[in-house]
Amino acid sequence: MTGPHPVITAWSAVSPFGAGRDAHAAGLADGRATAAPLGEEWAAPGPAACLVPGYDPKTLVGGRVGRTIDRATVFALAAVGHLAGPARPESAVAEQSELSEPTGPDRADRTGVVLGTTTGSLRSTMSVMRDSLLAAKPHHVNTKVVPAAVMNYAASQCAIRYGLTGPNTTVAGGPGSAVLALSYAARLLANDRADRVLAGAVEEYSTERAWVNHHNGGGVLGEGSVVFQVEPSGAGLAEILAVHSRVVSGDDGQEALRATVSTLLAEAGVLARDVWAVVTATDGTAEREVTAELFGEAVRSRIPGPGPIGDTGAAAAGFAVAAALGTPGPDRRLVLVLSADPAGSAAGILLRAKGK
Amino acid sequence: MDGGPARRVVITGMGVVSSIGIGLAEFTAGLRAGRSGAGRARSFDPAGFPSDRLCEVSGFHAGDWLAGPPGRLSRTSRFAVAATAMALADARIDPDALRARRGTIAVGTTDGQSQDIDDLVRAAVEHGPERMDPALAGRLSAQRLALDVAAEFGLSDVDAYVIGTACAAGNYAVGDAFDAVRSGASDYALAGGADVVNRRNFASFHRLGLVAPDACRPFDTGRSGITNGEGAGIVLMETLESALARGATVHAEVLGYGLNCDAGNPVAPDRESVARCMRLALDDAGVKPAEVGMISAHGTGTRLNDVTECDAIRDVYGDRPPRTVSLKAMLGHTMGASGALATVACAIALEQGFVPPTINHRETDPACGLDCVPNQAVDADLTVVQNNGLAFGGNNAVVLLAKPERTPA
Repeated sequence: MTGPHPVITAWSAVSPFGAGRDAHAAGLADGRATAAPLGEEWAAPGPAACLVPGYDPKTLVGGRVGRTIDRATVFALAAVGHLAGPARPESAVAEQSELSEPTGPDRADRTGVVLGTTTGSLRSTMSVMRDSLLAAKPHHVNTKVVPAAVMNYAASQCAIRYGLTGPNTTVAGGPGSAVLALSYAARLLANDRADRVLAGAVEEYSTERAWVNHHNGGGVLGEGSVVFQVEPSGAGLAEILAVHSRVVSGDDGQEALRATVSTLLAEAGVLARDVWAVVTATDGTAEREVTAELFGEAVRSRIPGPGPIGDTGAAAAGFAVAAALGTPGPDRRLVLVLSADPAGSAAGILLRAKGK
Repeated sequence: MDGGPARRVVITGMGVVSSIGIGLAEFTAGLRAGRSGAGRARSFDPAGFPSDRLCEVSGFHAGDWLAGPPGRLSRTSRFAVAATAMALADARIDPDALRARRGTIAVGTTDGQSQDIDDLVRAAVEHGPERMDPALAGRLSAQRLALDVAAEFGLSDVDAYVIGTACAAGNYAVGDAFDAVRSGASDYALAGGADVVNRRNFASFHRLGLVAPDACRPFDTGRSGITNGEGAGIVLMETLESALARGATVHAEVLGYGLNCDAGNPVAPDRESVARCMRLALDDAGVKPAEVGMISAHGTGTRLNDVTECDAIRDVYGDRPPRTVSLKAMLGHTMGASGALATVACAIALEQGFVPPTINHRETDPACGLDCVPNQAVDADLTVVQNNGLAFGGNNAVVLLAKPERTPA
């Protein structure tokens, strides 16, 4: 990347630490584990999970929310809402044309939303299929759940609630999906398709996901949404110096991670020893070994890893970026976020963060 | 933008898996003949559904295209990989030659590994969730469509991701890959979309009252909805410079695209917003409406979509809009693949000089009021064509393609 780097100017999150940037940053600072036994409403395998505390859609989103809306969309609406500004009045949703009028640099038609996902709301998708198998007629599925069974539901609901008529895209990835979303956002900005992009990722806990996870080898699941406001240039919390993703060749996941790191460093024109901290998305073996080898334990330990909030699926690398921004450190520190997906990809992002 | 003046981006390879033909030659013949892909459902038992019509791919043998055992991949991935193999062969590019270059693999989808998800739910319902197949549970990530393509051809220096923006996803993928190549971030891109028919999607569209009982009749007074379909389309994009340097055949130039969101009704398209998306695409491409010779409409054949889309087209093009066709009458609604299949069809139309027809047509709805090229293809010397993709959620993306020899206005 040459020329001015895109800048993260704000972020927010809904996480097992709580709702909002401050709650998440406080949780990062004290490092308390959030895993807790599951309540009786979850007929799921696994003894514990890291859930968003006190789940209440109306409180999280700050207004009325449809009763059948999925958790993922609630988290996305909440986190995007913290950055997008107030929801427009419901009457305005009908008066769409008035809202698409350009009103200035932050005009709604130049604001994009890009959300990473694994495969949308698995709970919604699976419940529609379950209805089809169990109902008297195979098409007697719950109409209220049908829209949420499509992957772009969360992103498009954010656009609708906050009146954002710019690019609106759902990017499917693994734990690195937020990095893919940030990369996509940077591309939108570089090609002048938006002036501001709210980019991040979302994942929900559900019985369905817990069962799929059980068959994939388990691990404590987490959930939440994390969203970054990205603008083309200027002052902000961090500059995005480089973003890179690639595919694992053969079975050598470590090689893909090393290549990701070297590409990020080369694109930014910096050396490994210039990097103040490195943070990993999943804390998997490959991520741990490669970052230890390339950066050493001191650089690895400056920013808390994902342990306390569990496996947040598609949101994992997004929470790692949030940890990079939410952990205090020197001005202009370089922080590298690295993510390995067992499905066969690697992704990373190199940030230059403002001091605080 | 990075790196000085924008580079020109062209399509030099195309691959198709569709219900009217597998491979470019068969697909082209199907488009010209106005072939229908519809038939009685075979992928799942349609008993109890109000309709049993699907546009399914038949005669597809994954082993013809894939190196390893096909069963390791979902059917959706098999389609995507096969279409990519065809695109690479069509472009006369050895994957070895791509490995040293930075690339983008962007695959659009609505439903991802949908048949696997259906199978997992069936297992859970019939035998309990502990009996779900771990092999299926382990490949649910929608990104697998792009990762499986990369793995099949040994491409590792690639940004490989899936766009899950529902029924416009194919256009989103082509548009974003265009940006990646145009800006120099990638040297080449493999982009398109893939989806397979599945019971859950069929049930959902039925429940919403959007499935035609007999046939999909876009723009017709008697239109009553979609026919669910499946398929995959993948195009290889590179710069014009790179195509010329290797003496490649250029199918079409990608001139630009536009994307936006209605941010209004999640199901019904918004006339003004769809018109705005077309204007964004025309501006991005530097094209005047008068240059456009054909529009491949989203054209679902539902009551609401077609009239709204036609109104939006007239808002942009005035009272004499270009011929506007819907490929969904032939192909069915292939969801995330539809924009990609339409991209291939648009390139074929430019290259071979004909407009594919809107089949199953009886009487044009005056409220639509466009020349939809009913039932019979017509010969036409086209310079620029437009490809519309609209999705639930109000997600729109419009792609503009041109003959490579067009002189920019």
